[in-house]
Amino acid sequence: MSMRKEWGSVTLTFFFASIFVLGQASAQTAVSTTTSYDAVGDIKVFSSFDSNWDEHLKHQAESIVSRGTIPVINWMPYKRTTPAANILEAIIDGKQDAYIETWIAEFKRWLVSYPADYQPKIALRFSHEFNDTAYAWSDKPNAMKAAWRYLHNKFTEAGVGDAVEWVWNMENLEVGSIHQYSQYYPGDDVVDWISINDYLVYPTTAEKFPNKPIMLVEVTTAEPHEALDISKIQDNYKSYPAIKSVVFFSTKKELGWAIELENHTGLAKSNNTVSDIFFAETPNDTTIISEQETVKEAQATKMINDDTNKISQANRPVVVGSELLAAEARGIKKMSKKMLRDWRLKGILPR
Amino acid sequence: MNTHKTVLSVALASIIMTSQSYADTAVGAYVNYDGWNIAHIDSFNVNTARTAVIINLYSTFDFNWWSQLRYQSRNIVSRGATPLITWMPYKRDRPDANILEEIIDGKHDGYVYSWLDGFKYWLNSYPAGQQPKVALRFAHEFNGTWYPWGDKPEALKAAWRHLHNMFEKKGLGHAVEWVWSANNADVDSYNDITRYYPGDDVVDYLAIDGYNWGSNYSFSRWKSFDETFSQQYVKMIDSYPDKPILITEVSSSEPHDTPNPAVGQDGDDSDAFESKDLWISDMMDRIKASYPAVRAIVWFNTNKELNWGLTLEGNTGLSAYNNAVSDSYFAAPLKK
Repeated sequence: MSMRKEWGSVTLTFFFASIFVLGQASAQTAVSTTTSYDAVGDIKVFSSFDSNWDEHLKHQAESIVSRGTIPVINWMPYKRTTPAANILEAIIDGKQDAYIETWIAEFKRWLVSYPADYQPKIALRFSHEFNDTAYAWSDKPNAMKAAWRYLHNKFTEAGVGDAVEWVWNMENLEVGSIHQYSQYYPGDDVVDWISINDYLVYPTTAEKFPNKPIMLVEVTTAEPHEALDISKIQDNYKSYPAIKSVVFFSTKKELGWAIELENHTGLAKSNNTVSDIFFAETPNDTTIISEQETVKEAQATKMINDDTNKISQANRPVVVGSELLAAEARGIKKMSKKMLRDWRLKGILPR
Repeated sequence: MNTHKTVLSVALASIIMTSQSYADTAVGAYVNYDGWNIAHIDSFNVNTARTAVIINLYSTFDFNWWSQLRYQSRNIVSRGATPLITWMPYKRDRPDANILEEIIDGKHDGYVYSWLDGFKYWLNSYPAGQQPKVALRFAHEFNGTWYPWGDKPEALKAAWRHLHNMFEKKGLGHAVEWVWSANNADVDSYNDITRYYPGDDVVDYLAIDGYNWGSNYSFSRWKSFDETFSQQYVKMIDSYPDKPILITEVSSSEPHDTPNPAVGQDGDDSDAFESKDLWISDMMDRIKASYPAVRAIVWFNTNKELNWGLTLEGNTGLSAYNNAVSDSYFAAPLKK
């Protein structure tokens, strides 16, 4: 279902509220360890049932995709106007159909605006942290499973199932009344990724879902204590082979849980560690290689150009058409100013 | 040391391998909506056999990076192309104003500095080492009478240097290629484009725009690529032998285009038996054979007063174009 399941290593990603662009590297490439962020995987976007594709997500997704990154869309069954409403039930009852179908239709139109070979994927993290009590949609295992399958079916029916990776994300601490997160699991056939917020629950998760790749999201550490050294976390990932993607939570939300913002100390360490080729696999290896080829070509052709400048003097066209061009010039000069403006300027002026 | 050696040997190996038919000329296009609509860029790339590495867009002194150019350029860069920004010294609300003189007098400095700030902000949104370049085509077709900035050589040169100096002051000179773009025919008071040349130190590329109007005007007839471009090309390589040249606008009308008197077309349909396919294959052959200074051709892919496009409704010529650009000669990136 997903190409990512075949990767040997992990993609490491920083989630950042504004655009946070990461350079790319491939596992076959020696990587500069000093200046760049080396891996690209996904950048996360929060979205609710108030947002639709054309007005909001399209622009966010387009920006993310333009940097070779996969948008992870946190799709929260929540509406600002009715914060306490049970949107999961509304989905199951078909009351959100119009909204959902419009969302999918617009998404589909966006997908096909890319050439066939370049159509992007998105990851949908619907109803995240369902086994918590923090959100309006949490602590409702049966409604969650039914709404999940209902949505999944809508995407499949619309023929865009292949463009979506479904990410099932639990909160680590099972603080809800239903303590078994597996009760929220909608089924192997409709889940592409298991997503956890902390590697501490890795052993049980990997055991419960042996066939699913695991994505680690919203991992961070509080400053300035550095209770967890980032490089230590990253070393640890190597012991967890099922983890195929890491998304750092890097906005100043509650504490200073960020590694690239001012006065935070983890970035240098993180850069050091992500330079490890274990973290450098991305789905775009072929693109990267071709870019390197282009650089080589450019270097070579630059030297060739020194020669072409010289031969351009000897190899030249015989001048023909001077009379024709002079006749055109005479004709154009006779045209009225308005006619000329309409002809040459009107067509190209931006509206 | 080792790194340098490796780079050098790779470069040398490439020269040896490609010496017979090296990639020399890049391809690009103007497409509808000036970069605003990415689908039109994709559509051109899907329809043609060689991805466009330059996309031309038109902008005036009404527009800046904050509200317009960053979106247009982002779209273009996301498709691996260099934005060719045709920057027209023109204001919508004062279509007859002499903007060149106003630039020289410093009256647009505020606008230009804001333009530069926005440009810098956009550049910095890319990681170091991956920052894109833009090609800036200021006051194009200066040797024609149809634009309000045309036929003003002294003002053009002074305004050009004024702007160039502002870019340097802001430390953005490295991110811009300055494109000095003449019309193929001299339709001005001077018949000598060198009168408009602001200097080798402030020009990166020379450029020519030219069209085959066919017989749609009483003063025109179907003319070949050589008849359209050779005169100005030779003038350029004689005057500025070290500068690379771009064909920044080029197209042929369709043989089936008929004169539309409403837009001043007072010709006839005597070109009905010509072929746009043949025109294009001849153009590409001629560029390869006799125009070695040409570094890029930017097709004018839009159907305005005549059907200039390659890939749009009512267009012919696409198969000849695809055939030609499949040759590795046209696989070049934009380069000097």
